[in-house]
Amino acid sequence: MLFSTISIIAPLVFLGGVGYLLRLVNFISDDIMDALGTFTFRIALPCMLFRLTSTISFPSQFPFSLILAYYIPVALVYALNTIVFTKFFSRNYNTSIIASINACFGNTIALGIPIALITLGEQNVLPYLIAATLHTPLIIFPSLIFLSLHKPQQKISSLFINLFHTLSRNPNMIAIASGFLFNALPFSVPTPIDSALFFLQQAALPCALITIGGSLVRYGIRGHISQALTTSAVKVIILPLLVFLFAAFLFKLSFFEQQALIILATLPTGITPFLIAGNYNTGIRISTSTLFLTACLAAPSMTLFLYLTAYNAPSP
Amino acid sequence: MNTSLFIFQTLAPLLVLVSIGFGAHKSRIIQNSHVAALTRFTNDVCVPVIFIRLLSRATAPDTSTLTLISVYNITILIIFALSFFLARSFLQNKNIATFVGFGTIFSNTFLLGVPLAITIFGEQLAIPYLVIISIDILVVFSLILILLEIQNLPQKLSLPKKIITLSQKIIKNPIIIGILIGSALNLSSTSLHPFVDSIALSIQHMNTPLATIALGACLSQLGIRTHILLSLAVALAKVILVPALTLVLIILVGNVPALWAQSLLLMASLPVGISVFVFASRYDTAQNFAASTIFISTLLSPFSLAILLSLFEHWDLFISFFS
Repeated sequence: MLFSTISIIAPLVFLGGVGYLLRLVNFISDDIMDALGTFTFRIALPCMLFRLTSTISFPSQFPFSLILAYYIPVALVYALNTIVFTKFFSRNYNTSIIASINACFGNTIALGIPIALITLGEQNVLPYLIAATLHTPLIIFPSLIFLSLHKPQQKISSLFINLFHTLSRNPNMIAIASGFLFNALPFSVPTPIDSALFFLQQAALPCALITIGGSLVRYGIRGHISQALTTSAVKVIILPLLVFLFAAFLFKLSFFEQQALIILATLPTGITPFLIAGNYNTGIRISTSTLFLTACLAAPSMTLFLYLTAYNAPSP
Repeated sequence: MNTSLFIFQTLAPLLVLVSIGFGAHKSRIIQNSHVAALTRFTNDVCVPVIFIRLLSRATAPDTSTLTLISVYNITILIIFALSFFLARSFLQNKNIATFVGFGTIFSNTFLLGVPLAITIFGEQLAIPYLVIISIDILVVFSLILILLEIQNLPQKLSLPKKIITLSQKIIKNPIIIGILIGSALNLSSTSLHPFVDSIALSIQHMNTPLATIALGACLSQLGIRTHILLSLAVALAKVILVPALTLVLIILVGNVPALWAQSLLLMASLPVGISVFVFASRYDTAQNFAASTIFISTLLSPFSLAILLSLFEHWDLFISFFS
């Protein structure tokens, strides 16, 4: 069982490592990274998202227990990390919030969806998609409100207008929205188009892994090591542990729901916290170091927790 | 399945991907600089990995088939030479000549050829096709790489320096490295470890979408009008002349097992391969000619492939007529 879990995760780590090495030795240049990033994040991933959301079958009832089993631990971890940063590390309020976003916000689309597809299979990926879709609204939106409370010159309304404007132009959001819309229509995607989208879906994961692996060369560990280590440990150990306990024992979710939440919880930190840190000009080094550290630590964590889930509730 | 529907379903995704690339460039998602970068990545990373996978698992054909494959490769080299010198004589832009020759002889062996071979012959019986394309790619790619490197050598160099520089460039070329590793694995009967093979397969999956999207973007960037007549001529030569000559060869050589003969004929009948565009972008030459030739030959290929599949249905009758 452990071997089968490793056999899923190891190739992903290896591909990320290939990207990191190719960029480190300058075999692939910055312009290739830029082009590969554009292809991955603006074409391949949105096409994959459209294909998934346009064909998926929705459950008859909204899965509240799935959402609670993931977002209660997220709220607990968010609060705990903020307290640790303000009280223990004596960081200011905004930096602590940025650190907490880092501790909760995973790379749900570029890494998460392809990993979920490989691990769960296309027919069982829905729980992951539901939980991941709420990631931005339930983590980033409240965080921006918290941050704006300490930036009085910025109005909350203008903040949300900007955010809505950004999201409405986000290719992933457009793909998800049009996929759901297409799902409601009485006809399916024509076979040749679906085959072309499948080609892009197959390319999405290796492209994303190589791009993310390569981009890590740019980040590395940039200081505040103890704080970044704390945030990383919260992201890849404490959050998955709490999610596992809530999903398996409190809410008694199904095997695939548990696995979906574990994948979501163990993902390395996404790029968004780093961008927010840059916007608020605080917590940048913590974000950079956390991005790098969680990318290195996510694979063993995901392997361990997926194994625990499979051990606790064997695959149906 | 209906033959024409099957051919349409195999070709259409390729055209959809090209259209996505075209649209992405028109809407400025893909910039001009991205086209060269994407093709460079496929050339330097994906294609060498594909070579390692393909060559490491190729098996040797029997003597009569080997004769046919050898004769075929000599013939396509002659066709290459003819089209190359014709193009050099009549065209103002001499750099296009190599790609005229390349486009006339090089097929879309992977994206279209492999699924067509598997569907026509079945997964096990498609092995001859894989062996034939391994040899074909090896011969054609080596030839084109050497030619392009020779063309790109500085004119001022003395002959010994030219030979040294050429050797250094060829030995450092990622595709040549891929060919050498794949061949070494094959000769030493070493297969790729399943773990390594799964990584290689993932990288192989990147090749087609990246190359076709770049091709679509290039069509948007440069258009197809510049070399439309030349592209049409090369496309027609590729999907009609080359398969017709291959058929003549099969009849002349004789006694070739039907499966091998049909595999060879299938490869010869396919439209121009995307690698022609990848190479053109890599060497910054004739990208628009390469892109439009691939596009036109792909549009023409349903007709040639339909004739081919009808011929396969009556193969025994056809061959007995000439024997």
